[in-house]
Amino acid sequence: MNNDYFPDLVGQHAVKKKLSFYLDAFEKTGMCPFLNLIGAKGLGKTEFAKAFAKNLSNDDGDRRAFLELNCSTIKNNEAFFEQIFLPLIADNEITILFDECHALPQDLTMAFLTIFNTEKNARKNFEWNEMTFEFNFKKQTFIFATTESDKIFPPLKDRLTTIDFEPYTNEELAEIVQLCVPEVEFSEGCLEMISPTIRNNARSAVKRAKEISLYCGAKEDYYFTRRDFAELSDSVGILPLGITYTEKQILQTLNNCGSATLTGLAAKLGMSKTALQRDHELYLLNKNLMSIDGKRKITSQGIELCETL
Amino acid sequence: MGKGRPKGYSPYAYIEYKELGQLIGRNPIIKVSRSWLESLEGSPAPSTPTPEAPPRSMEEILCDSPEEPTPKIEFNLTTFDNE
Repeated sequence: MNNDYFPDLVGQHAVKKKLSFYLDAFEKTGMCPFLNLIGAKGLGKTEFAKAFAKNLSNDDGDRRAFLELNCSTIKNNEAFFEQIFLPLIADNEITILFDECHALPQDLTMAFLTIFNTEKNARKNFEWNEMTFEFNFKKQTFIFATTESDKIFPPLKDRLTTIDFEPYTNEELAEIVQLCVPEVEFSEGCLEMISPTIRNNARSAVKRAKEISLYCGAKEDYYFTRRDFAELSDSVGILPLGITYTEKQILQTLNNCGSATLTGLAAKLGMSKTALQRDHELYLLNKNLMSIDGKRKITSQGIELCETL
Repeated sequence: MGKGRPKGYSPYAYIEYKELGQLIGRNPIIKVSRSWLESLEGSPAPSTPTPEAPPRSMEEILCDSPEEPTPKIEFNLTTFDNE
């Protein structure tokens, strides 16, 4: 198996292995399954899709073009076939990424059930509005990606080959930061101090690298120490473990009142229950800073963290 | 003496198409079922009212909102030409 398809991307070893397998198979057969990249935001789904597409060749040996669509902007079948399929896809050799595919409109989802209901055939004709649209899967590669796989219509999900992304380790995040700012030299142990504040997310690592680059640029000194990171954290508001100020408030509230119901906590913080659960509690639970046992409670680790804030 | 319309009366009457053509000419725009027209492979005429159409009230004009244009789909196309 060729392991050099993704030289610029850090981590996600299982994803690389699976995609490399499909790229090897594509070289021999010219066919690729309909991939569905699933993972939390910032894990690199779009970057991997693009890198995958870059490795696909056309019949004439040229690199295949890559079309990235934001599904939430597709209103219906008519818009898709008129604005995208006919001018960009039909008869062309191209890779198409349907990003945030859980937001596909209902009629297009139904159309895709027909179009992607094929195991072996390289071509599929789709009849709609008294027209025939030809899909040629040797020429066109389809990739889907989403953060919310539970919202994809299950029969469509069944037709796709799922590839799951996993959170990055602190070592991988440190590697991403260093790759993004090759001009910066980090003092010993500095990257190890930075990476736990990046929330297991490659996009946050790129943002943190940008902040470090700006800090060094302003100082005109590209040697970055732990002391520099403390100063940068103070300036831009980086908290331990990368928690946000809202998460800090949640911990402090729980620390003060012992425990709280979801409704009570939401009322105290002036937030909706959904936002509280989706945007903040998940990370605090993941980092073992709070627990839910009927009521929300702060853990001993959470109390320790509160004392340092 | 009885009032109202006699039994069997209809407000509609039949006329031969040829005679109707002689009376109103061959150019007036008339409204027909779109699917029926398409089944005959006819092409629709512009929907602007004919000069003979009754003038529309200001209320009707204000109520008529133009059809919403289909929003543009956001996309990025990468060709990898320079990589």
